[in-house]
Amino acid sequence: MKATIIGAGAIAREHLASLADLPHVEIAGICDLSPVMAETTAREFGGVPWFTDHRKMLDEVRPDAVHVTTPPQTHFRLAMDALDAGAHVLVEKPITHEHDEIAKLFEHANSKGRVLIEDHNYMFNQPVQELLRLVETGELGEVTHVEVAIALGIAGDGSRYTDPNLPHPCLKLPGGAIADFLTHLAYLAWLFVGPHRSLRTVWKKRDATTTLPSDEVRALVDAERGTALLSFSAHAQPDLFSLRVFGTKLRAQASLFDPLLAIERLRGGPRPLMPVANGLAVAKAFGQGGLGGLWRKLSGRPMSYEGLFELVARFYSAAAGEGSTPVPQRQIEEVNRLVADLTKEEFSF
Amino acid sequence: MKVLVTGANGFLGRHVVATLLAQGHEVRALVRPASNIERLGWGSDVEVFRADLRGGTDLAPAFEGVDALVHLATQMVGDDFTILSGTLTGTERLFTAMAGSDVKRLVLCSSFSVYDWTAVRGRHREDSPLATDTKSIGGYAVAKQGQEELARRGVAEHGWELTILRPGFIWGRGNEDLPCIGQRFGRWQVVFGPRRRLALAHVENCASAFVAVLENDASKGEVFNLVDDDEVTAMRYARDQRERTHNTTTLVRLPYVVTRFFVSCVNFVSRIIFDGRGKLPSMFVPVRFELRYKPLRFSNKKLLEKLGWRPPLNYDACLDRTYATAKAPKPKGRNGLAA
Repeated sequence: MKATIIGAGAIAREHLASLADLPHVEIAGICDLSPVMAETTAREFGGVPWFTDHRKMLDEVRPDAVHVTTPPQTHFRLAMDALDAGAHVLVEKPITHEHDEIAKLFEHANSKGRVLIEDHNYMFNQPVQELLRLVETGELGEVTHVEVAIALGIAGDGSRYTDPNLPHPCLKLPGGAIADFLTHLAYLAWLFVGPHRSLRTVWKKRDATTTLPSDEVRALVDAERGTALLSFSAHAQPDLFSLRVFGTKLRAQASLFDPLLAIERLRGGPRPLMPVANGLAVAKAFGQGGLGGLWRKLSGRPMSYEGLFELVARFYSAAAGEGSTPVPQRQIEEVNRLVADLTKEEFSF
Repeated sequence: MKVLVTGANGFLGRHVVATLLAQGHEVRALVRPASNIERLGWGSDVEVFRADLRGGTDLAPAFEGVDALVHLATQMVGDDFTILSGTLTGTERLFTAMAGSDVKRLVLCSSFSVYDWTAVRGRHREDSPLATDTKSIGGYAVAKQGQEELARRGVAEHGWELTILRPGFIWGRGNEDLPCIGQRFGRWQVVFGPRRRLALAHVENCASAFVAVLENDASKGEVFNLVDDDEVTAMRYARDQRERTHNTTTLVRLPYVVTRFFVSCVNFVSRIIFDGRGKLPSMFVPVRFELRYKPLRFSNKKLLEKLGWRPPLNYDACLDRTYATAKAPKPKGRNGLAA
């Protein structure tokens, strides 16, 4: 299959790296508005053809699949063009922040018989997949609550989100820079508690001097199968990307930065010893997670983007008719409805 | 001559601007929109053009009425990709604007990092082999190679008159801790290869060289390495820095062969365990390690022979200017209180 990519930014390199090991997939074209970035990236990934006009690339290469990794405001137009050209399409998050546009994209993809997905890469990170298995097998019991938290110092000096000389494209989205992370928060919660019914959000600007419109958000979500607490902090340290799932039989904490899954469960034996046993299990998991992260870094394997590699592999299987879509239409629509509602209440408290 | 200088308020740029003014040239300084230039005291001597090379403002007006471009700007903050993309897209936009102007003269600030340091032997020269393994050399070096390539395309397509300067480790007041000395662990400074000569290039000597090549037609079409004249060893610089800053750092000597052997061992183990796909910190990547620490001989021979240029400041004068403000700590009285 011929794969092409529109947008040669940082995330594009992860997409391209994920294609390298896929059998029957070749990188057939790289497109960017900047000739030097298109050429440099093309050279790095095997000297493939490069373009500065995506329509020219679609016409000349006739790709089987297109990855859209440009700023969010351009996703709809580029994805529509790629579908027009008969390609399967993988769009970076957020696919678009207009619900009508999502409907139009899927209408178009379905009429063409093409696979269209939004990048929900972290759902395929190994700890999240293990958590989903615990739910599926009933080991976790029923999910009562899920917490997804991101802490990244995006408000400080040197952050691409606060560069006063070149405003980041996400600053134009509802929610500002934090909008770049809301999709991750939303789909990780959706996987465990389903579509939301209502929510309350607190958007804050903790640092009055930051150029970000807001630098903290908390959201309490009432969803079909439980509740969710979503949070993003631009100030809490050290950096964190965690997922905690509370079940009726156990609770588990996963890290999306390291291969970490810590489980506390109901155990047999004297009840006073249960916290001790769980504490030891959690300590062991954290130790293994930290060392595992270091090992993975030294090994050159994908770090926190391990899920993207799996997602891309499944996307191409689905495109080849050998499997189901890795991110169903319903998931994308409901997750984006949650994202839209999260930003509706921006600055309301 | 009226000269457009990018990165004009940067570490090197402000010295280039000062030297240009001192030589009687006019300067249009290109600085980012949010840069604070008040402290530079340029006043009406310098015409300021505010723009971010990576996007936004049209750059064409910056070239109006200009005779030459001195391109110093490089993205210095961020990860490898941020440095690479910021530097290359900015340079691309700048050169596109230049191509639409009458300006033909270009002096580009490149770097020692473009060379393949694993292949350089003995005396380092302008025709030493360039790095080809872009995966190993890091985003900064790839960006510098890319800048040179873009400039050479301008020569081929638009008849630009290009001079490339490749400075060694630029130092001076505000940039005293050099990565080519060794590694610091708390109050311990481990000096790798203590008798190794450093490729130092004092910022004021660099500024002098940039203006010299601009003024001399013999530099057109040439590439020059740029270092200070004095042969300063790693241990001497570390000692002088300790002395001038009055700190209590303990200097530990570690022969180069020992450190290089250790790097080789780490690479060997990585190759065995990870089947050649391992990723090591930059210090353990041989080409980047040798850029910093390989014992070689450096000189300004080509600058001297072609242009008759010599660095105006010797090592002691550079030290004086770099550490002029360092003061001895106040003696402490009893109970640790200042006397």
